[in-house]
Amino acid sequence: MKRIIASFVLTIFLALSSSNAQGPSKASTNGNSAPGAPVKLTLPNKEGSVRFVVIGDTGTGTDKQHEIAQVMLRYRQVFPFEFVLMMGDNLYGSEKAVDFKQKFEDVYRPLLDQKIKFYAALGNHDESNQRFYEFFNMEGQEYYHFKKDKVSFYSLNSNYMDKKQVDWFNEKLAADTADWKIAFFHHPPYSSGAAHGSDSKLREVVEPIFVKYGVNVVFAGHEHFYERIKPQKGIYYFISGSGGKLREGDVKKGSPLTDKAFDRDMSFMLIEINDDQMYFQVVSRTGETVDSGVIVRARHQQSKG
Amino acid sequence: MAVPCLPLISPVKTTIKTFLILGISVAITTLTTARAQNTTEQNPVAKAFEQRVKDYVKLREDLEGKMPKLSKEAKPEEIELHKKQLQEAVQKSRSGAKHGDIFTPDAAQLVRNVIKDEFKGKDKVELRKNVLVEAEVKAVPLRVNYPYPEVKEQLEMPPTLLLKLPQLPKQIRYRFVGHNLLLVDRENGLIIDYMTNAVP
Repeated sequence: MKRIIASFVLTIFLALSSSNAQGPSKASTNGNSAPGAPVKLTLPNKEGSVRFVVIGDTGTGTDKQHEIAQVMLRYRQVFPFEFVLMMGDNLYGSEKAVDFKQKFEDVYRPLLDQKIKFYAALGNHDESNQRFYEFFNMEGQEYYHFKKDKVSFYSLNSNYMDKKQVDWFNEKLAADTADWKIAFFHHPPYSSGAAHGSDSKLREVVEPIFVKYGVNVVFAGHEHFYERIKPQKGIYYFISGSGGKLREGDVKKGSPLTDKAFDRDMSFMLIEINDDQMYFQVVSRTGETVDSGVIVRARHQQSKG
Repeated sequence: MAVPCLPLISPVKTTIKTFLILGISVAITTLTTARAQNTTEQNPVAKAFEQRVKDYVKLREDLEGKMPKLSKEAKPEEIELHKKQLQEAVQKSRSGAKHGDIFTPDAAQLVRNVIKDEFKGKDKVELRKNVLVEAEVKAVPLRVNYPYPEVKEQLEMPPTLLLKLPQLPKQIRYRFVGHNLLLVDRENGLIIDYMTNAVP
């Protein structure tokens, strides 16, 4: 009888812990912790901030993807991020029902159980049908917009940047009065990667739009490493494409584009936006902080015509 | 005091000059018009191609309309089933579809010209590198009414090219595979037609 009561109390306690998505959480884990450095948050963690994570090129279902997800979970206990941006290549290889489970749901189950939302963009390994998947929050669209407080997010489909999408993007931005405008998609307009490099044709189309409407920050993936690009025409570009794959040593040494890069292990980004500051911290699969800093938002005067 | 006389201009020479100027103007106008038509807007070949694609989309929309609608918050099993059912329905309905039904020879040539115009010099080198070297699309079978393998990557279409090609309905995608350009249904994954020698 005592054992039954104890089990009942434990079940209630665990259920309450996993359903609490606000504030520092005692998130329930499945008992598997990634090895590595203790949690060391460099972000201010202020009340009222918009807090999120950026990951890219995750969909492998490998042990290493699981390990980095565990590090994300550990950080969530001290930094209660509300949602995750996915840069595409969300599922590699086949996309049967079992693949969604193995390459995504099983990996991020503890976060999903805490009602953390994942907002996905499509990569070159992703079928368009992913836009219907309940946990990618794409509302059935290949490109979409959502807002969190004073921050506007634009998820674009860089696989197929056709006239319809360009027109949509222009119209939405023209009417957008948010303080921060952030775009995220798969292919990086600027990159020091040896395997792929900058997507100049994409940049030719999207960069003028970014500049015209004051997009502040762009996140991308496709390259399997982390890179912070030197500001280009006042816009900050980040590549976060090593959430499930790594191309070790792929960043070209001495690239004039690079402010900071990390290509020795997988990583993810923690982001906090508070008023005019965007703080970032990049954490590796082993829990090491490999980059951190703050971006101050420049106030934009939208050009006419 | 003698005033030097200007040489008299022969009326014949004036006429020849006039005709020459007119002729050059007409030639320039013709070339400009041909180029504009070649870039698809108002081009009857492009319009006919776009209509054939729309006819396919009408067929598949009619078939999809008879199936349960896929939710925006679908489970993976529902997504997988919807794709399979739509694929099978369209394959059955287009069992006689063959290469060249939509990419007729004149449409294929028009598209080749657009691609060739868009990619010159360094751009051509970069396109060939992306399409022919980097892409993991070996062993994608070129077969009309067969599925594009979901394990193969889908190459990014250059945005500047997409703005110049004949516009497609949202359900259909252009996709490079080696030297070839495919038309692929984005939901059922079927190759609905293809053209060869697309990459200059």
